Amino acid sequence: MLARIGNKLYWAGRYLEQAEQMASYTRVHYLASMDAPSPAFKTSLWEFLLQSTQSKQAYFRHYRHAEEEKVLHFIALEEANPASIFSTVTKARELARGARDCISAGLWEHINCFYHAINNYTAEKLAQKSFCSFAQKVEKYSYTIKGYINSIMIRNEEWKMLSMGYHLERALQLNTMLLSKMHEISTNISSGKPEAVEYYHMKSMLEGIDAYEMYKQHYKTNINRSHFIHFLVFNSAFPKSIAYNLNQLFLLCQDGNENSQLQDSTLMQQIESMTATIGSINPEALEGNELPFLESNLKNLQQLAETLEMEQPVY
Amino acid sequence: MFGEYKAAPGLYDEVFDSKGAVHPTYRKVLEQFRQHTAEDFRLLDQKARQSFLKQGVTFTVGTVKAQGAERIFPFDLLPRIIAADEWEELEKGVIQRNLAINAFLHDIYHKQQIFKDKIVPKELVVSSKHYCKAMQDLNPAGGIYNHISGTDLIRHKDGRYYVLEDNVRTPSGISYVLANREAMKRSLHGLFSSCHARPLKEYLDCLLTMIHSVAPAALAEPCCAVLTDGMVASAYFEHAFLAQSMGIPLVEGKDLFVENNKVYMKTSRGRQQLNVLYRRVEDEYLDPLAFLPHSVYGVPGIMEAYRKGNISLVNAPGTGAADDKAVYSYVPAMIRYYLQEEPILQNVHTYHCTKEQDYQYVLEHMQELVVKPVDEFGGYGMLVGNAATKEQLQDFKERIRQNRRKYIAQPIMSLSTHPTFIKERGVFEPRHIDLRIYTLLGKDMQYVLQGGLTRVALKEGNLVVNSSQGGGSKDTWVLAPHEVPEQERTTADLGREAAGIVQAPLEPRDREPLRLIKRPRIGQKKRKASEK
Repeated sequence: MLARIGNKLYWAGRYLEQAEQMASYTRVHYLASMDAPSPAFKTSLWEFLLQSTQSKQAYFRHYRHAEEEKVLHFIALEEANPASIFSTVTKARELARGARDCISAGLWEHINCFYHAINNYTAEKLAQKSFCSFAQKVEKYSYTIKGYINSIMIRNEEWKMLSMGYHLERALQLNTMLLSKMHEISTNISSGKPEAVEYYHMKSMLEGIDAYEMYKQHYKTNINRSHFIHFLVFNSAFPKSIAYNLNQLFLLCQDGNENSQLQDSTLMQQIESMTATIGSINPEALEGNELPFLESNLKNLQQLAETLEMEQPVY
Repeated sequence: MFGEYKAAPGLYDEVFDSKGAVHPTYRKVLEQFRQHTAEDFRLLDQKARQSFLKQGVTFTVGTVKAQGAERIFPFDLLPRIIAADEWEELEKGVIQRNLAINAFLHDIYHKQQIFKDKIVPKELVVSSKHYCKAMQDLNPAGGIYNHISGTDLIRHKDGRYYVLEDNVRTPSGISYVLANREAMKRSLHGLFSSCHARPLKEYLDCLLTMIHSVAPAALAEPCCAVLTDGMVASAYFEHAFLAQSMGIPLVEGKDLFVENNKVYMKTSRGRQQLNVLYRRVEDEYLDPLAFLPHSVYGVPGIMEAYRKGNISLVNAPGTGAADDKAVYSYVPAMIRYYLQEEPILQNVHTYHCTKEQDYQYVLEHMQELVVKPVDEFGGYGMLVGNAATKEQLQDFKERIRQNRRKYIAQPIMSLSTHPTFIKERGVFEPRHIDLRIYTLLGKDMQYVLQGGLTRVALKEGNLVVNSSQGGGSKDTWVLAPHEVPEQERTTADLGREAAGIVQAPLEPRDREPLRLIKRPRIGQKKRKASEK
């Protein structure tokens, strides 16, 4: 595989994952806002969503106030927002186009159709059909594309780079969203109904990443904070948890054992160190101190992303 | 939808004769088409368009989000059909032509016997901007220069095919041929069960076989790649499609480097030596050390690696000297000279503005002629005399006067017409078409794609079919040899079928072996040119 192509596929994987996470997360929070425990929630929701989807700075460069229709459009379709779903899908498609010869025609067609489906969405259509319908379209395309990647692609370097991209992005996205959530919980803890607030946030977070039913099946109990953190960060059996995605990254690096460069690389060492740290933490002991842990974990993940890019052969 | 169809008088219509009767080759297809209403056609057209959009066979206009920013090359659903016997002659004709061109290229870069024997004027060839001095005395692997060629033909009002152009540099359009077939399958799949159009996909296998055949050394698994000028290139879709279909990497100049006269790819696992490069970059951009110094698409040093025999280039640099439109008129002479055969395909008479008598004729009869620059393609820079204004005619006379070598002229040929669906009116109307046939030449192999690119001038009366000039395209079906139109079966045939007695089962073309036609190699011709 050409070194240049590896980089394109890695980033295509990241952008595809980012689009899916943003769509799902925004959709659920939008729905949850309709039965929020207090009206104050609704007003803070839009800023919170902008923050969680890394669109806040760009948004306030264009608008003064966070309003429902504008925020949803900004997250979904705004060309001027580099983090919008439209922007990420466009980037993913361009990267896939640049690596077309290395992926199957079917996979390319799906990524291309994904882009056209989003490109055909206008602001009017978004308002008319609701954000939910838009987000479900994004999620559906994303699942189909991943199905293609995992069912059709030979387990070669191209597949590995795509997979590394989306596993790393999933861990990064989850960590970022969880961090925003824990901030939100700690900010609202002084309100009249702290348990209700906490419960509301944890439930919407789980639903937002399609994890609520899995959580219930796994713990067979109602949501509580230590299980909540355990499930999303430490549970290596849940495919969206940080631990699971780090393990996958480790396996993918190990899988490239023909390439000794990756075997003994800084990347492997970093992943090993992160998994060891996560493995050594008792989630119950972490309760109340999640913020510093998540902040440090996010930094480590960002560093991992940098290392991954730097470890391409240099000519 | 065909009710009002009127074939233009004095022109050859591919589907209807002058009395309005359908040509036998089209009967089955037309029967099926007649079952559809104009509304059905609009929907089928939409389906076909969707197929192109999904495959990414588009070009971009304006900004990404702008309405209609991504456009589809127009495609017409009624295929152009060529009968097997007619095709056989075309196939033999293009192979003959391209073998002669290959022999010509070898000769002009070696002994130049054809000049010495005064068959082709030396000045005409060496003054071509595509004549490549760096190719002098270079022996490409397998003895092949024009590995891939696209021969443009038209059918004149006399019903005969004429060659209009030879494209032996980096001919494009093959991906549209294959995408057209895909779109047809997706939108009118029923047609394929009643007519046996020869399959096209074997072209890609043959292309790879040909590329392998010209590797510099006898390698079991030569490392091959397609060189593109990047995602900005108008033919990027085709470059990616070809690389993907052959399972070889699509590289840009920046992915390659030369060390000790060997070309390497920059892979994620270190460097890898490249043996054959199917380059889709024009000669002048190929190597900044040998050609244009400011080229960013090429690979510095690749020409030297090529000269040392460490890499094969497909097509060879300098092939453009043979597809110069002035040199084109000598191809029949080349066939006679190198192959000692009579040309199977006809040329269109060509006036050379460098010849005084021709020049005078062109100036005096410009309104009856098509004037073309010798070294451009895509329909650019040409003038169709009977459609030109007085100012345009005057302008061209001046241009020719300033650079007579740059222009040739030909009589305005009556391109045949073909019913084409006109969406706005919901009917089929006659539109002019041409045909590009793709030939592969490799070491000891020749192959012709069993179909071609039929381009159609969508504007009424327009003779320019190039996509860059608003042209569209059609799927091109070559019928299998056993394909007999229903109406032409004998009573005995129908009786046998009714009784359940079927002769030999109709073998679909895709079960037939690849059409790798072996012919004597250039060096083994009946009589050496130098012996003349």
